[in-house]
Amino acid sequence: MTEETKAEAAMSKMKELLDMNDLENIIQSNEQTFDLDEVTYRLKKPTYKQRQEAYKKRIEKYTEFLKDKSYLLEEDLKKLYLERGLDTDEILKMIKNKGDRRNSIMLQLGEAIAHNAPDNELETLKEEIKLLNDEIQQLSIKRTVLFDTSLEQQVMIHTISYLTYLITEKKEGENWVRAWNTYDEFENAPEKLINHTTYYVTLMSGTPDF
Amino acid sequence: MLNYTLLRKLAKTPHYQDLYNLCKELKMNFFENNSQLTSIQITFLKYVCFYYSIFMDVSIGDVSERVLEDEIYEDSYALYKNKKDKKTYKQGTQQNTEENIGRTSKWLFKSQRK
Repeated sequence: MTEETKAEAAMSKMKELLDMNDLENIIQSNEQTFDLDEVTYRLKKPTYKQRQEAYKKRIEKYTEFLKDKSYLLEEDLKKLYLERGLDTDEILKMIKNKGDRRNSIMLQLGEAIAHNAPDNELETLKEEIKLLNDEIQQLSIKRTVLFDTSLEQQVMIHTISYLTYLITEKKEGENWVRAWNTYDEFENAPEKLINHTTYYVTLMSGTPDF
Repeated sequence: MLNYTLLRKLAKTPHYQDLYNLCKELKMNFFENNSQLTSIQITFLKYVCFYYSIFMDVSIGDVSERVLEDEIYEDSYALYKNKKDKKTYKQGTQQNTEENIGRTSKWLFKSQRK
């Protein structure tokens, strides 16, 4: 190992330790505090009342988008893609088939590990699984991108943003107050702050399917 | 994007494995909050349990330490073990049910003879 690669390895290890430290901080409680541009912000896991409020907003948005013909439902998009010769159900089928094949190789590998099979046997099975995982990932990304503009996806993005607006607080003196008075204020906040807070909300709530 | 590999590495550390064991024994809190767990806390806890189970299997000699060399090995072994356990459980319950049916019919038979 050259001095340069040694330094790179040390840097990468250091970065991993720092990232791990950040992650450890996130998992320790259901409350996150961070400083940005000399303001302290706080996010707590949404309460039942906040979740209900976001749910109402979600229904409102869904109805609003339904009336707007420029938004297409996943089903409509599916038909449009099919007209253009792209079968999205076929992509799902491929994901499922590859997933089943992957799981069957994983069972073989699991058994091989439990029975102390030789290294080369484990390595071959592992590589096959890796390959299938990559293929599944590529197909999933492709499908997600295809439906990114769907009405359902847009409503989901809006719900996460609304939840972020509802639960973010900032410190004023000794008190915690709502970070934004209106949703408009939230939408006009610096992008860095929106990204930061939205990231925490997704970590806390996962996909808000209520 | 959440780095799952990092989350798994953290769950696998002796610190969290010991903490999990202690929390189970002493009924202590694992996180600062005892309820209202966030999505990431639940995922993390699942990984801690996942590794606890693998470490247990390693310690009782069910599998060699080699399983811990790679995430794919870990997942594959867990999948295999899960399937095997389900099969054993199913066979066990089937056997118990058959034994119980056997007992019940004998009892019924005895009752009828009376």
